[in-house]
This record gives sequence, structure tokens and C-alpha cells, in this order.
Amino acid sequence: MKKNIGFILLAILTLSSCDNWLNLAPEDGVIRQEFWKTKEQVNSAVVGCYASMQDGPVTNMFLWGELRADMIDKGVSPNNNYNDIIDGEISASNSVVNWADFYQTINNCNTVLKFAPSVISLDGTFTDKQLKAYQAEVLTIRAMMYFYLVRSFRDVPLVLNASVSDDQNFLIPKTDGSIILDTLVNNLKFAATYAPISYDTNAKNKSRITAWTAKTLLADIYLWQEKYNESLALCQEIINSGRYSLIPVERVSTPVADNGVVIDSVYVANESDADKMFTQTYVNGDCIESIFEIPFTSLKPNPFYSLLGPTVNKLIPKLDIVDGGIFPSPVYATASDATDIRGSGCSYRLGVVWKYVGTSRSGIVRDATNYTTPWIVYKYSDVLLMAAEDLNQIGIHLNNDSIAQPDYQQSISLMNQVRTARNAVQTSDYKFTGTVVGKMLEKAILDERAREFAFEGKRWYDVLRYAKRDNYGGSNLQYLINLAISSASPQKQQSLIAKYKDPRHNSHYWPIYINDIQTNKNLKQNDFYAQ
Amino acid sequence: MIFTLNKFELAMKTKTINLRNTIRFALIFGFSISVLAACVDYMQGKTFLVSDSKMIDEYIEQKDTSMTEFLKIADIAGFKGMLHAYGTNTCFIPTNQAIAVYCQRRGITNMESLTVDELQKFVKYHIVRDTIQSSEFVDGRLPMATMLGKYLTTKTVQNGDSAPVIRVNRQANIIQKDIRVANGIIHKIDYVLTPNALTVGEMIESLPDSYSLYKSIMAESGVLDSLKINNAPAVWFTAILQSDASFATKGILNRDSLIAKLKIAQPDYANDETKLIQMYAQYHVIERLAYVADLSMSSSELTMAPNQVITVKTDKDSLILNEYKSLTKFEQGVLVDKASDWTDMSCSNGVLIDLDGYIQPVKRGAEAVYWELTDQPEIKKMKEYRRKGSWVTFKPGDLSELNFGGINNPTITYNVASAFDSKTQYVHYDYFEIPLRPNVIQWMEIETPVLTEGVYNVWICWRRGGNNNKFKTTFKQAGKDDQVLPNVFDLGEYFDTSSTPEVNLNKGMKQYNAKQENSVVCSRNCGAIKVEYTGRHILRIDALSGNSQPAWWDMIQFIPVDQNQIWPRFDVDGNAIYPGTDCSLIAPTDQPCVGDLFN
Repeated sequence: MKKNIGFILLAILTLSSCDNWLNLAPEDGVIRQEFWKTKEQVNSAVVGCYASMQDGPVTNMFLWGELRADMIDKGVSPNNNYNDIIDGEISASNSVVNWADFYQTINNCNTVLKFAPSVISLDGTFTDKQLKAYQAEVLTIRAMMYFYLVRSFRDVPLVLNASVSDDQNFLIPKTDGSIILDTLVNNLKFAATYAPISYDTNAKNKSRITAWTAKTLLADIYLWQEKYNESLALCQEIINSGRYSLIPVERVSTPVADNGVVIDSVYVANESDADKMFTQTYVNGDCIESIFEIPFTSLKPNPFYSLLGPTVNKLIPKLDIVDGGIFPSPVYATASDATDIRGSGCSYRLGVVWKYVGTSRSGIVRDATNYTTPWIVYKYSDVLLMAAEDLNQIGIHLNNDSIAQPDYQQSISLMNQVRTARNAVQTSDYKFTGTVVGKMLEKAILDERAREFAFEGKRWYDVLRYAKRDNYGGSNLQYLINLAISSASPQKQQSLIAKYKDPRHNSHYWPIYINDIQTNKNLKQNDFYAQ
Repeated sequence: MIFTLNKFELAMKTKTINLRNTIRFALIFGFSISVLAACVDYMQGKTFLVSDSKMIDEYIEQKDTSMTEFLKIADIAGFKGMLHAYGTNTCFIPTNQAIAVYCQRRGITNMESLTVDELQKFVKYHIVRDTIQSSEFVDGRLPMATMLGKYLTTKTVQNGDSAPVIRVNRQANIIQKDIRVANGIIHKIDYVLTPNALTVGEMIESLPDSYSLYKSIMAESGVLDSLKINNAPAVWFTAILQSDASFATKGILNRDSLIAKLKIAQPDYANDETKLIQMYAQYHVIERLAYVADLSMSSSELTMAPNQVITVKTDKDSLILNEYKSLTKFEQGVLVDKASDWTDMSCSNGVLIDLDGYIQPVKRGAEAVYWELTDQPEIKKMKEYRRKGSWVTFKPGDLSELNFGGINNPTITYNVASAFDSKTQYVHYDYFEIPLRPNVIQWMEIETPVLTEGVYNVWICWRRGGNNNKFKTTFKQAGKDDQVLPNVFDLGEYFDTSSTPEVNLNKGMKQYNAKQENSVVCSRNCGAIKVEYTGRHILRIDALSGNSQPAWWDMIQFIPVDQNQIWPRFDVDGNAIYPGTDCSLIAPTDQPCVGDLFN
């Protein structure tokens, strides 16, 4: 066997090349004894958990959430790994599915959880309250990482202990995704209780975990678990806290005339307000809408220059789907200014994903060294739309498709808060009159999410959540099939649809990266990719 | 096991090994000590790349004995050497069990009872001489034919409760894909692949009742009998099917309503039912092998019906036949039904294509053809086709439809620009570099796409180059007089960006590219030709003068003289761009436009 020879070689090489390895003290022991003595050190270890998310995880959160969805396309500089996924050709040797960066952050969190409690006895000024707050922060970060993993792979190894010494078992098998989610729920309940309500600066309120972050993440997990009442309760708590709001955008009602007769009116958004929304959210960061974001600076820029920048872009917006599709054209050609402020000039412009590239709605592109758009994990509109989705589902399960249905009414009103703030185009899909069919509202919320979180790494997970709902009940799988139709190249379309019809749904999740399968014999590959 | 000195490192999975002691070396490689002794000195302390990849036959013998039957057959058929030699192969290898089932079905005890010729055909049908990973499969035929000269088709399918599988030729499922070995790729399959023994005609007869009208018309016309004649590979047929449902889209329910429809479409033959039936049937046969993948690279297909073509357009997710668009009218096209059980069904003498709607022969005048010269059949089959940054060089005779000759090793190079540039705005980024001058390429003969009857202006679209590189153009149709085009062409000419399009048009020049007007991106009218009958004809080009650098050729446009000569222009993605198109819709969408977009 190829592999066996590799192991033999490795063994021989290791033995012969390190003549004096027996004389070295274990590296982990040295560090630990010198560290973990003061609360300042605990704090810097917690900060390290945040910092570790800036590198790999943000790239993966973007790629995992967008590559399989329908809004991104192959760019000028081809990347075969990305292109294969866009074509629906996903394999275990594609490095995009490497989860190592997530487990790195998870291990950082686990390390804090293991050693922080012992600092209490060494540093008299380190209080129990502070300790719990730090624990809440890293538990939330860890839960966030696991939630991404579960949504992407379904079943993954659940590592809750720090790997700090050489005699631990690293060959951990997969745990069922639903069991992992239950663990996360418990962790987040703790975090929601003990995480700080707020910090001393606005920047920290946005980029460190607060109780609100923990609650938002928990609401999102509940939504994934289809526990709508639990999710809704948390969303309402966040909404009622009054800590977050949508950036106001003034709109002017403009009459539409046909042959001199006014037939309708449409709204035109104030351009300077629209620009404020863009710059506050995507240029300055820490905006009033943001609940949790991963910040970047010119010293530590985000990964989007090489992914999306105009000269070297590996990925571009799929304009034939996005422009005029996901973002509908104005209803009346004569009132062409009545556009969604999240569309052209925000999500896309000049053929690139503008929110990471532009300096303002109509301005120039960023310098290569100035890619500082924060990675927004959760913002207020997410809470509003999650609540709308919860209410919609609660309504559907009541089986009463009437406009008077209070759940639908509330759901529509929450969604319309977002639509009004963004001046969404009033297409007929959103004019709910008479009977509101629950499934129509369901689709409307999904489409709204596509606009609101365009290129923010949520699209694939949103569509998958919709498809898998009620154990792929009814025609829910059609959500994924529609995605295949708009995302796959024509020559691959029928094959991709067939793949999504996998009765065990394994094809909806990533394969485990080949290196992990080879080094951890207890890991079982996702059946769809196992051959 | 192969020991290599970096040579095969790119082709194979490699390991980096630090050579320190001879014992390990011997352990791993089993080299004789004498060889070791000879090279141990200079190898000492250096890093080498080695491969433990196996050849196809070694892999089967040593790693997966469930495919040994195939190896045995290959041995008898004389292919063992090939499977053991370096090369690029894709082998679809049936398991021993699959071969046993095959023998049982054929009523033979084992494969050895077949003749060597039969076994050779058997092996050849399972091997493609190229490395094709499963990620390169599309819904349809493979990019290259098997050694038997017939194409295999692939498609991922999902049925009932089973997991999705890749199905090959509608016969076998791949049970293990992409097994990389030193000389290719193995796809292990659970059923033997056999070419369809039925002809196109016999396949049509065996279609279900939902094709009853089509079947009866094809039979009545006598075309069905022609489709039963198997002269492949000299003659291939592609039959375009129409289900009763597709007839119904136009309200055609029976023979009478079909005749009524055809009478309107072909008023010249309104009193001749036999002729109408025959025209209809002939119109549904293309006399070449055209899978969906082939159709999607074509712009029109000549049918068996005299002077009648089917036009083909590829949209993002679909293949549309007979869509007709001019500046004044638009006729909705008909979709090829890619999901149909019959589309891309291989037959012994051709292939079937099924439609969503109804098509019929139309009486149409001259139609503009905007042709990319680089769309040569050999090039379309290459991996480099439209792959940015690629280039391939061709000698005389390499391209079946673009012949050329001259002195001093004349070659034509197919290039694909790696990125957008104002001076390299080639459609689909690809172009030919042609050193057309008396001391290199002295002449070219280019087979045109199908041209319908009429009078056309011939526009050559190129990037200027060289100095005084002049040539003359001749249009040739079999059985007709040659037509020498009036304008002598100078490839060194610049496009005059300061004049209006009308002034330029009067000088025989225009801008053909959509995005950015540029003085080196030119299109010149060679003059008018009269196409006497619909078909593919020859454009001959003879170099007259010049001795410097080559020029870069992109398109040749044949535009009826009474149609708009200036529009549409073309963007780098191949989209036809009409006046007033928003710049942001012209590829590349992130680039600004230069020049007038309106007239």
C-alpha cells in the first residue's frame, strides 16, 4: 500500500532525523507554566480566539456560504478548486473543504476553557464573574465555529477538550450533527446568561461577544433545528432590547404616469442616505445594525482582495442571476431610480462584489492594502428576518392561509421593516393581499435574505435550511433544485440536479478533506463521496 | 514502482524522500546493490522525487483484482502493452462480475471464445486516449471518442431510493471513479459497455407510442429506411425527434393538421403532400454525428432537406433551435429536451436528439453568419479551446477545415488571450496568429459555415499587424464559377477612430468589437459574394505582398448586403450587442466603454 510505505518512511525519517529529541522538554508544558498566571493573560488568550477567526475561518465562511449557491461566478483568475465547486464537482481532495482553520479556533477556545479557571487561585483580582464572562465569550465563538461545521458537514468530530499534550487521542470520530447542536444550545444558554451585556467601547460591542451575540446565534441554531417558538422568543428579546436599529434611509414617493394618468407610485431612496448605509456598514464598520462582526484593518486586511478585487478576482457576482433576478429591476422603466439600495452600487458594481471592494456607492475601488470591510456574522436585519421566518413557519404549521392570520401579519411587518429601510423594489411577490399562502411568504423571506445578505456567506445555508425543513417535506427540495438550475453550467445542470436528489441528502454536505481521512482512521467519509 | 529524477513529478503523485542510508533506499526501491553503489555518492544528502504510481495493468494485478478479467481480455486482444506503457488513457473497466454477466447474456462460457477481432473492439470501446477525470464529465458525450471511434456518454442520475451515480452510456454505473494511475485514469464500472447495435432508423421504430405521429411520418416519407442504412463512420445521422406532446405545442394532433401547418410554411409545395411530408422528415435529419455537446458548438446545421438549415443557439442553460432574431423580427426558438430519455442516445449509425417543441422547414432568405474563424472542429475538441492563456500551434493539414501552405515551416497558432485588453478584444478571447505573407503562409483555404442562398458582404475581423501584408480573396462553390472578391486587403491597416461609422463604412471599414473602439481592432469588407445554393463553401486567401510580422484573426462575418452591416457588434463573451446597449451589460462588464454605443 502506498499509505503504508508512507508511514514506514515517516517513521524512519522521524527516528533518524531527530537524534536528540529525547532530551527536549515538552513544548506545551513550558508554555503553560509560564502563561496562565494573571487575568490579563486570560484576556489575551481570549483575544487570540478572536484573532484566529480573522484568517482561515472568514475565508471559509465566505466560500462555504457562496460557492455552492447561485450568486457567485468564476472570475478572471481561475481557481480550479473554486470552479469545480461552482460546477457542482465537489471532491474530498478539494482544499476548500479543509476544516482545519475552524478546529484551530475551536482548540484556542478549548484551551481557554481548560486553563482559565486555574488562574482564579493565582490572581486574586480575577473574579468569578470575569471568568464566567470569558468562558461565555469563548463558548460562543466555539459554538459559532461548530454551527458552521454542522451546517457544512452535518456530522463532525466534537472536540470539547484542548489538545495540549501529546498523549491525547487525536483520532476522534464524528458525532451526529443534531447531538452537536444540542451541546451548542446548552453552551449558548450559559453564554447568554454570563456574557457581558456591553463593553466600554462601541468597537468592542460589535467585535466581541455580547449576551446579544450569544442570543442571536442561539436563535439561528433554533431556527436550523426548526424550534420556531424558541427562536422567536430570543429574536423578540433582541428586538425589544432597543440596542440595534436599521440605518434610516429617506424615501420619496414618486408618481408613475401613463399617458398623463397617474397609475401608481414608487419610492426613490435618498442617495446620500443610501451611501451612508453603505459606508457605515461596509466601509467604517461597527454600525448600529451590527451585532457581531470580525473587524479588519489595513495592517490586518480581510481576504477579499485576492478573492474579489477587480484586478485579481477569482470570483465575481453572477450578474445574470443577481442583476434583474435576485435584485428585480424597477417595476416601471420610466421610474428607473426606484431601486433597491442593496443592489447595484452596494452588492455589485462594475462587475465585482462591491461591498468588499468599493469605497462608497459611486466611488472608486479600494487600494489593494485597504481591504478593511468587516466580516459581518450577524446584523439586526438578520434578527428581524429570522423572526419573520419563525412566525411564517408557526403560521404554516397552524394550517391557516388567511391574511388575517396574526403570525403572517407580524411576519410580513417584520420583513417590511427591512424592505422599507432598503427601499426594496415592490414587485408583485411582495404585495400580500387577500389570502397569504404560507409558502409564498416563505419564498418571499428567502428572496429577501438573498438581497439583504448578498455575498455575506449566508445564501447556501439559507437555501439548505429551506430545503431540509420538515425532513425535506413537501416540495422543499425544489429550493435546492432551483439553485442548481441557476448556478450550474448548462452542461452540468442535469447531473447536479441528480446529485441533489440524493435520498440520504449526503450530497448536500461537504466531504471530509482527504488529509483528515488519511490521518484519522476513525473518521468515516460522507457516504456520497466515499468510493 | 518507478524511480524518476523529477521527470514525472507533475504527472504523478510524488513523495519527497531524503536519501540518507542505503538500506532504506534498497528497502523502498528494491534496486540492486550494484546500481546503488554506483549512484549512492552523488545522491547522498540530496532530495529526490519518486513515484510509487502503478501502470493500469499493475494496478489491477496488485491492487484491485476485481478487474482482472478485463486485463485478460486486453492481453489476448494485444492491448496489454499499451496498458503497461506510459500514456494518457481513460479506461472504463468493467468488473469481473460484469464481464461474467455479459458472457451469460451473450450465451458464451467465457470471453476467450470470442474472436480476437471482437475482443479488440470490446477493449477499444472501453478506452479513451486522453485523461478525463469525472469532474470533466458533462451531461452528454465525452470530449473525445473511444479508441473504437465512437463516443461514450455520461450523466449523473438518481433513481428511486438509491444514491446518485454517474451513468456511462446509459448502460453502466461507475462504482469507483478517478482511480489515478501512472498512465491514466480508471473508472470502474458495473456493467460492460457495448455500442448500440440498432441504427437510428431502428431506434425510431422502437420509440414508444408517445412518438406515434413522428414515427408514422418518418416511415411514410421513406426517410426512415435511409436511417436504417449503416455506413458509419463514413456516414452519420442525427435524428431530431418530435414527441406527440411537442407537436401539440403548435396544435398539431395528427397528419392532417401537420399537413395544414406545412402548407403555410412551404406555399410553393402546397399542392404536393408527398413533398411536404418528405421535406418535414428530411428536415429532422442532420447528416453528421451531433450530440448536444456538438450542437452547442454550432451555429447552424444543414439538414437532409435540400437548402434547409436548423439554426442553433446556446443560451446559459439551454440549447435553442431555430430562434431567429434580426433587428426587426424575433421568432421564438425551440428547446432541446436535455432531460429526455432519448436525447444523446447513441445508435450504431448516429444519435438522437429530442425537442420540447415543434420545428419545421422554413423558407428563409439570406441570413447573416457571424463566424469565429477559430471555431475549427479540431480546436473545439481540445482542452485549450477558449481556455485563457492557452496556445496551440498547427501545421498544414492539422485543421480539416482550414488548410494552408507555403514555405519556411508555415504554422498557424491558436491563442487565447489571458485577460481583457483594449487591443486584444477577441470574441471569446481566442484568435489565430497567421503569418500570411509570400515567404511563409502563401495561401489558406477556409471552409465556411453553412450559408443560405443570397448575396453577402464578407467582413474579416482582425487585429492589425505587419506592414503591407496584402492578400486577395476568392469565394469557391462546387460546380460554380469562382468569385474573386473586389477588395485587396492590407492586414497592416489601422481603424480610423476619428471618423464616424458611416464614413468608415463608405471606406469599407467598421468596428466589430463592442466594448472599446481601438485603432488596431479592425473589420474590413472584402466585397460581396453570391451564394448560389445553401451549404458550406470555400474562402481562399492568397498572400500578395508583405514581409514583416503576422496579424491576428478573430472573425469572418457574412452579412446579407441588404442588412445592417455595422450592427450587431460582439463582446468578448460572444454576445451580439445591438445599438444602445448599456455598457454595463457588455462583457467584460467591469470595463468602461470607449466609442459610440448608439450608431
